[in-house]
Amino acid sequence: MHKLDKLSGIREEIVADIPIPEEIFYFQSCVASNKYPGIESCTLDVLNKLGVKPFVSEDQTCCGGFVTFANVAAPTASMPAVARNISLAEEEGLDICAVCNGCWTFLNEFGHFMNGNDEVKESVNMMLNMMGREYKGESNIFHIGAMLYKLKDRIAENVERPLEGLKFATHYGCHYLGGGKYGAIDDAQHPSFIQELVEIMGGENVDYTASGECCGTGFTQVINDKEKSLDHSQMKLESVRDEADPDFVIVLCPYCLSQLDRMQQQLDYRRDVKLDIPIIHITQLAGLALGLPKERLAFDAHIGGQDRFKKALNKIGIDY
Amino acid sequence: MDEKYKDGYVEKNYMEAFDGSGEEIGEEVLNYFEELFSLEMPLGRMMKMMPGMFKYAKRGKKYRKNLMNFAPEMMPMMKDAIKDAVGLGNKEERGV
Amino acid sequence: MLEKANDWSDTFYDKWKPIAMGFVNGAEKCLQCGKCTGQCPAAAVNPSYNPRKIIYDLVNGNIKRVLSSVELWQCFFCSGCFATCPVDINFPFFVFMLRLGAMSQGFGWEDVKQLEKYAEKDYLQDGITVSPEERNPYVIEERGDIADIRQKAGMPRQREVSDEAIAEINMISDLSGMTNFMKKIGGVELYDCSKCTPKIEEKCKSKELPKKVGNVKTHYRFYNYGVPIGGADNA
Repeated sequence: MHKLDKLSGIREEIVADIPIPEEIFYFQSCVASNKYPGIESCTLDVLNKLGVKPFVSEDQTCCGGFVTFANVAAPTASMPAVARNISLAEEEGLDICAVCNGCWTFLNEFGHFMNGNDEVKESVNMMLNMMGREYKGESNIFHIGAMLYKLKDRIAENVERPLEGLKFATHYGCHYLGGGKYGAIDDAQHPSFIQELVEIMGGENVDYTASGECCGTGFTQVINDKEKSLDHSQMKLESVRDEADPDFVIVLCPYCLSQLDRMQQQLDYRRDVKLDIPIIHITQLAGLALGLPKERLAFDAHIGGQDRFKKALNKIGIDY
Repeated sequence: MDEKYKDGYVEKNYMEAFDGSGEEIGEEVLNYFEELFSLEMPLGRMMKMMPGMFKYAKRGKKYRKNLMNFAPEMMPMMKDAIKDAVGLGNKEERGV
Repeated sequence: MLEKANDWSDTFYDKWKPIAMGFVNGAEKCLQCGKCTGQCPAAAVNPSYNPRKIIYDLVNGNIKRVLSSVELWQCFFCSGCFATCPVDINFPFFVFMLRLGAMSQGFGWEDVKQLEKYAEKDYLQDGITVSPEERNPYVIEERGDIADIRQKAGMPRQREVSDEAIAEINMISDLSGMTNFMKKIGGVELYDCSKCTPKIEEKCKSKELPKKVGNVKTHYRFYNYGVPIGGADNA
């Protein structure tokens, strides 16, 4: 019978299908590596602490999603690029863990498409064979958020630094829940899995009206139509500030992080809007709870919300 | 209104920016897509790939080795492509 | 501003369906319910932007109106419309395809030109789409060098991508026609904000349109779906 008390839209059957591997291919993200290195270091440490060994390959390039969807690359180049990256994991016999919503959707969607379309797969493989690689379509692609949710019991056992007294707001971003609406572990309209993780770590959840809104990057709009992009980010961030006033906003995607973080500074000098909201990635949240040192958390790469960072981190005993 | 679109918006109807009728423009766009997403390997397309392969081979020894390993697979494809190209020259098959 | 009814292409959408390996179809199922527009972040800041109308025009073959519109280039690619759509139309993919079509007709190049750097300079040369470089001097002032932060966190100062990987993506780019595609776009001039002068600012804002891209003559776009008002007050 349908349970009325179950309000969460988490798809248990998809969560159940996620394996807990001993080793996983960590898919590096461009924004995480080059703008917010804390995401990278936290992912590696958190996975290690939870008993999953991350495998890093220097042969891995960007997913190519940005250049494809920005229409600056021929779309035909995207499939072989995706297949090449996935084939690296297949060579090691590993599944892939992506930290970015964009990487996840791009690899997942196009991977699935190639698996279901032999003609395309063949033509892609012809190109890869020239370089001595082959795409078989055996590796699965998981988002780090889903991995952490799957490993929530291990997280609960390993919490070294309970996040008591801290308020957390969430921003799920678009391309994991929305773009992959059948592959993601949660409902696109009313997601709740980050809240559950926050509760496990001892934090308090706060909500705000615009929690389901896009961050405002608009993919390329932040470059091509900056004012409109700023309008949207301003609306979102003001809703966070006025309604939730959280210590941290947790995001799933480095690109959202970059937008929400950087636009705070730009809104200050362009429109005189004062915001002081720390935005962190879900792996940095896990890193906080699992007791990683502040160097590995690398919050100094963040631009907005530095005052609030100091206050919040002092509360849980980090001298920041 | 943004200055940059002013001319286009005020002085011209968007219909005037196109050369052909709706049907023709639709056809043009569809042809463009078809060419872009085609999976076939005609000779012309294969020839266009050659410079890329040479560039790759020039990068070093191990890259050349990769390509050499692929060569046996490539030969039949080349043959097919050439056959097709020659076939196009044949009047009957062209339907003239 | 309605065009003559006989100037629409009746067959366009039927022929469209098998193209792109059947990846982008299903628009004929559209119920015109407007949920996509209701939840759309781009429509929140650009009131003339309306995914529902674009789908309507696509299915009915009003192709000129779609391709020449500014609205086509206002999509945020957030996939919210797909998430909320009752018949699962993946609208962002349609936008992606339609933008390619618009580019082939000479529209939208002022936007695309701005982004080419990410493919040519970053993706193909370093294997990473977003480089550590900052265009905004305030960021560096606030944060300092990212290499130092990486070093402090116990990581190499720069993420390395092997030469082999870069050779391979360049090969893919050459073979799949991406390099030729980018050659068409031509060199791009991105301005350095730390050296901004009023003159550069003016240039930056007006984003000059190249006269020709490859063989395609370029055009300015039109607000085909309504009066372009909007901004923070309407968000």
